[in-house]
Amino acid sequence: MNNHISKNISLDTIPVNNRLFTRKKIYRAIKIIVCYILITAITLFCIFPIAWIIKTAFETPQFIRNPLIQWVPIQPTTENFTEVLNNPRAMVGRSFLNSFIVAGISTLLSTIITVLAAYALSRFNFIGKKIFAIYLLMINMVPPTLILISMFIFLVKIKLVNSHPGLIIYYTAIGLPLAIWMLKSYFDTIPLDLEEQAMIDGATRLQAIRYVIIPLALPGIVSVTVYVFMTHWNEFMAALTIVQKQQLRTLPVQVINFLGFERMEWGPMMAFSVLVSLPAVILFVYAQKRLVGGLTAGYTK
Amino acid sequence: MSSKHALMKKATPYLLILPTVITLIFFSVYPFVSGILYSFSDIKFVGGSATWVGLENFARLFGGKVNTSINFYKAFRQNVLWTVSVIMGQLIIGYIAALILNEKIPGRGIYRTLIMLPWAIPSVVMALTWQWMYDPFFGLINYYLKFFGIIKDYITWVGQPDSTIWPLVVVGIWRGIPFMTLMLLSGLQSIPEELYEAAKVDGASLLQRFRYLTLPLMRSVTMVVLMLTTMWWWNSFDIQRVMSPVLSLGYNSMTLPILAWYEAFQWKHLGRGAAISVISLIVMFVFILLNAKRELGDVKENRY
Repeated sequence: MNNHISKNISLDTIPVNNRLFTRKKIYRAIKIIVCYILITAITLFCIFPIAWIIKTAFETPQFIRNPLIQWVPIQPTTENFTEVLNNPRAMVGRSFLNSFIVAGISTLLSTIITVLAAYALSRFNFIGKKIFAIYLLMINMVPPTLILISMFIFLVKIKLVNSHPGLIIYYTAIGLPLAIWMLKSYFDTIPLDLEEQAMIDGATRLQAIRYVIIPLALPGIVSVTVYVFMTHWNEFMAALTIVQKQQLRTLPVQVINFLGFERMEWGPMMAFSVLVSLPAVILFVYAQKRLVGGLTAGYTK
Repeated sequence: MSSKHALMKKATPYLLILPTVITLIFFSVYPFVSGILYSFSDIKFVGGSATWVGLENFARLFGGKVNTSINFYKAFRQNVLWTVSVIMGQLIIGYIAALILNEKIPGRGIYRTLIMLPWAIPSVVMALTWQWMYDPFFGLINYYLKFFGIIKDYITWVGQPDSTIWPLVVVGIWRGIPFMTLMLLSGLQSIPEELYEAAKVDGASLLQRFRYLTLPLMRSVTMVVLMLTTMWWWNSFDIQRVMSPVLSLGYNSMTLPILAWYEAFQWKHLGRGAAISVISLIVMFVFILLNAKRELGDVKENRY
């Protein structure tokens, strides 16, 4: 007890700045170590499946089913890629083209429509605005299966089922509400004065949008476009349902289909997966900063 | 200003939203309304006739002893279990990650990019990869669980009639961490630093600062994110469909969207599929209304 007190006194007599380990510093060090351990664990959890895709894709087939797990390919090879690219059942080239057509056109359409509507929502007060805005929010709740069932019947009626236009129409409509919502919030952050000034200087509203607003909002527009493209590129349920002809299938459906043929051939499967993911990942890495900014501006005011 | 000019000015917003309104009326409002109508019909296959049968589809679902009804109750329970556990998992891990990334620690940019990465990968690809990792004989997961002595014998995790939904929940949590972390992090970053400084000066501990500063200030952001993710994961389809194809009745991973899809497109009971979706929608609607009165109020008060 005595010892304890004297220790305390002696510690307190040293000027704070000269102490090597103050309680505060120790706390801070422990805190940082705990932070690093936790965040490293979470990050590892997030990326280990991705590492595993890559490892399997580049592994020589006979080593893929190895009872001993190794994270570096035992014999690195591109055999799986040539296998999947040359397999007529995989139809990689054709499905890539299909995916680019469907996701590309629907993204372009959505973006144009979105910019106009988001601008209107951000800048004008008009009758019906509230209903419009609430509809855009609430439609998120509706199960895609419900929309898909009647869209499917509708597409059969207008003879667009089993075709790319059918899928493009569906994607364009489904992607709109969220895209408009995100972009509207981005427009809200651009001060009104700029376009008012342009209009006082004699520009029409459309000119003001074209030459003042769009350049300023470009980061937001890019992030919304990337987000919409990624969603359409990755979409599975409607692509599975609306398009049943093999020549017209998009990538996600084709991957699953390929698994059906090549049951448990994980090497070519993972090589195919790498190819499918690549465009979305490249876009994501390219637009990451803008995407993050644009998205968060959209949801959290 | 001439009256023509004034009229033009009034018409501008309507012209701007016109393309959206047309698209939505044809491909969103119409399918939505007709979908609800189909749920009261006996439409069996595409192009077949739809006769109004009133509540028969719903009666069959709630009716008790028939297979349809047993499946429906099971899918409903599984859907609740799935959504609650996936969202809870995402929320807890996402909060921890966001709180740490909000600290000014070196290397947080790299951590943030890496945590975000799963988001860019197509969900189908991810579900396949997890299926490969769950492989009973050569899968990563069995290997490490055995390596660390958690299991004795290799387990067949997914794809069996008696497989539980938990392996899929892990995938769902994994999939949702990037979005959850990103949203919560942006919310945290909007809290002014001075508040924390002031609290520190007043002697508030780390936990106190979290309890009395972070949580109340994050309430609205958290609610919005929870609402959005709950809607998405309640309706999620890809993971369940890819990882355990419903080849026969009674799979444990069968949730409502899966059941609705199979009823409609595999077993050609389009009306029944629509009915399941309508019930699923009503449940979600009530849930959101009960939990988000304040946020919906914000929308009504023009604060969106």
